Amino acid sequence: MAKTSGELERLLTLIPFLNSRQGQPVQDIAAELGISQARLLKDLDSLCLYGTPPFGPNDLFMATVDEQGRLEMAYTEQFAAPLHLLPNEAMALRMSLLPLLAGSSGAYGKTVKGILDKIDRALLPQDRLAVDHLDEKIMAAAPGSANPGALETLRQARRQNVQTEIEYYSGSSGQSSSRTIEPYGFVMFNGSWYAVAFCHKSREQRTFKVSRIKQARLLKQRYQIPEGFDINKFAQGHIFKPTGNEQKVVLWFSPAIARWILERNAQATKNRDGSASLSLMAQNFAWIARWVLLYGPEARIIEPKEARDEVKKIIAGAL
Amino acid sequence: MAQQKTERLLELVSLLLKHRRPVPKPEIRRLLPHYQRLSGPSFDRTFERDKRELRSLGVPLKVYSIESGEEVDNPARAAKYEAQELGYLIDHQEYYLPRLDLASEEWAVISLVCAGPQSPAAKDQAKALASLAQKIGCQKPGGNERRSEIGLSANARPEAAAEAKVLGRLQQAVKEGVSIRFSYHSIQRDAKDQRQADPYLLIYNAGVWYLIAYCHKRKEVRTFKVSRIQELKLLNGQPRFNVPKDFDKTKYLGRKAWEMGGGLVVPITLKVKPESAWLIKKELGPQAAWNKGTDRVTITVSNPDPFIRWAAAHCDQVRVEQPEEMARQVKVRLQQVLKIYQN
Repeated sequence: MAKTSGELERLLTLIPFLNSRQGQPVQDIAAELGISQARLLKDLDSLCLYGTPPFGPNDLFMATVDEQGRLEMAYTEQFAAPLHLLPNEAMALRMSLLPLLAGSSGAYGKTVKGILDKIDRALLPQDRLAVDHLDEKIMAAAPGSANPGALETLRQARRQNVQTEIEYYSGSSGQSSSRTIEPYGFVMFNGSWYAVAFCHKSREQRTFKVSRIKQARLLKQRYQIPEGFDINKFAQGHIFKPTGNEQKVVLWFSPAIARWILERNAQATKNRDGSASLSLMAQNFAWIARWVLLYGPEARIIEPKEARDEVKKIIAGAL
Repeated sequence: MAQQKTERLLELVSLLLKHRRPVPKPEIRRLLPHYQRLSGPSFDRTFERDKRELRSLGVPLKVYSIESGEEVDNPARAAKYEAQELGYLIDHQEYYLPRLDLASEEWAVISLVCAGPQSPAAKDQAKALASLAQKIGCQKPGGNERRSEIGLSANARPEAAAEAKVLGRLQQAVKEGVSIRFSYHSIQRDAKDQRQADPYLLIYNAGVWYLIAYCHKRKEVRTFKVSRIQELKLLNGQPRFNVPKDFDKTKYLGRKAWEMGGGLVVPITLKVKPESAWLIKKELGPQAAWNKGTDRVTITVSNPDPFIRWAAAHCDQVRVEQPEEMARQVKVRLQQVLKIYQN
């Protein structure tokens, strides 16, 4: 039974979607649906097996491709719009939007709330009741380190394509310094926002943690985002692209805290005595030193020497 | 069989959507070849099942009296009619998705989350999102899309897969007020035990999901890390619980680890390095009281260990002034670490 329902649901959604894409190349439609063109053509063929009783000449569904490879549909007008949204669909959207709300109350918060409002209003009244007060039961906490003001300024820069001067806190010097950047886009990673931008100071593309930007100021000079840059593609990979100047850093964690480390870090490995080891590539050792320092004597940097020295430097600078 | 049934149901929906008036049951039977082939009682049974199935999918299938044109919305009343006196209709207003009028930025965000990386463990969620994307995609305006300014990164933490396995059912339990039973991995003790709880609140904080629930075993409200919840069962047979009126959710939002303990509340005075003050200010959050015109700040700590850890890691930016005992503990910790690196 579940299998039939699934197929019926799929068709009740697919037919209106195809109706709305009439006249468009099937190649594009398949791409939009995330299926192969062959699969779409098979679907179109099977749609032609259906129709509306009493099955007169104008009652049989038609889904064909013209000579230019464009979709043609006929006799499916009753499926001009899809079935209303179901509560589980609205819920899935809400859950996947929540991380965007975290720490961006000023920036994406308005957009996300706008979407959720519109979706809730589109639900049937009986379903709407079910999601009522939900935003008081499932919510995103704004981390104290969030920086909605800076994110908002950078978004404005990205929209108007104007360069921006930022004061950025560098973990290694413990100081903020000023630099001019050209924001290409923003990535949400593990609950924090990052800006991907061309940095005039280092003359290369860099990833900046938005919470470390003390101030951002729009400049007059304009810039262009490189033709081939795709923020979503960028986000799928590692968001800190290696520059070739990284060094291998080896960390050790005592058996007492190893479990916490293993839980959060996929690359960490468990040693026979219950301790954990973690190797990573890094250019800037300051943040690693500070992270290790959080665990006190339960964690230590094994190598390189420069990273070990960084810990000593922080402690020597103790106020 | 399955193919036949899909065909029958799709044709029934198509028929009822096309006719804007109620279609009598005998006419439905006459028009659908699948129904024609069945004997009388067998048709009745199949038709009942089909109606149930369509309604379970959210299709607003309504029953009307042919004679009076009134809706017959309860089965007991419907039973009083002869078959030919009742007609079936799909309510257009309820069936069709209304226009959402999404702004272009809203479109960008929705396509982002729908097309974004999905955890392979969250199959149901991914399926629901794909269906939603197609439904509202019907309303998408044509033309060139502006290049997106945001990207979502796949969550690479091992925890994320564990979260995805239970999050869907947890949200349902929270939404409907259903008690739950689960096995919880207490990382402190590195042991698993069975818990029963009333889930009050789900919080997403800095990339991690937490459940705030009343724990039946401990008889108090506790914070659970969702990724450590396994073998989750919803106790649907039990009465629904109510979140107590005095439950204060703000207590759990954006709180620091050192504010979460149940210990004695101790005020602590810190001196902050001026260049780092803006950063420390954000880290300490709104609860911190800054002495105007100075670089001193007072915070309250009820769980000293996380505070000592934080203060040691920020020793070049903050110094504990009061109480002295706390300052001493931070110093001891730093000396222990220094010893490791001097050897």
